[in-house]
Amino acid sequence: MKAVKIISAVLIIILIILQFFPKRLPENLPLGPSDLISGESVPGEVVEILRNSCFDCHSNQVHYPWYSYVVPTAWLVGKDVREGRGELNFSEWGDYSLRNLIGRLDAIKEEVSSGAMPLPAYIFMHPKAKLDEEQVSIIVKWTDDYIEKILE
Amino acid sequence: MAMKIMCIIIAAAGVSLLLLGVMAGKQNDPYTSLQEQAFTYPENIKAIIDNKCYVCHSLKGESEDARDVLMWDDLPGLSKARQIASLDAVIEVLDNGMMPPQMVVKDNPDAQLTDEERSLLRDWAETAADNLLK
Repeated sequence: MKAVKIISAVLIIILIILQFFPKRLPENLPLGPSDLISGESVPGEVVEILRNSCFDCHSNQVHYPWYSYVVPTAWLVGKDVREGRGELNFSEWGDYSLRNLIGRLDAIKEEVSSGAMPLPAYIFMHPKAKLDEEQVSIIVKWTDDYIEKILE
Repeated sequence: MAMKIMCIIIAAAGVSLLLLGVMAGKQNDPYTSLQEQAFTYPENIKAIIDNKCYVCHSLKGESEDARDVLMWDDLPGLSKARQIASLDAVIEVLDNGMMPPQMVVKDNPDAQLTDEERSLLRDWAETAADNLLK
């Protein structure tokens, strides 16, 4: 019993000390001209899905949950957002070349239809982000139409 | 005499059938038609791919992930969109140094790309993608 108390106390102290370390959360930015949803005409239902299930890692408008302000979960969230933005950032959509756009659209289609995205860990923390079949087909159709438009 | 004519007719028929077969075979040869549809690999690029990428990104590759992501033999036969997307990914992993994977290079140092090979392959992929976008 004494050991449990000591371990708990040590853990709490470590947790408190950790809070003095930088959280390293990627910065949020206001919507700019390069943002997908400000530059292009995107169907409303697509915007809604992207916002609800993708933007927390793939845009500069992240809704950081409370635990992202607590170290060490802050570091995990920060890492996911940094990596997510690196692969695909809907806020930099307007800066992508046509080749980059096709690459990203093709990957979106693949990741979403295989169920690889949104990440299981993200869905665990945000159950509403899970895409149902209809939402998947809306995204797939959007990517197909978009690619077709580029290749026209 | 009649026997001789018969023989000639049969021989001619045989040769015609053989020729027809060869022509039909040519038309159905998927490799030929694929090559006509899309780009071909220039010799120097093919050599780099064969020596450095093919060990994983071909039917003989052991990693299912690697085969799922890219099969160099299948690339010319994919849809235009998939070809561009694949080339885009090739350029990205060459630029950020993700390929060849360090794990593979550690076991097999020959798989490392020289700077020259890297930029040759990268520039070829960029040109091929640009041509597809024209």
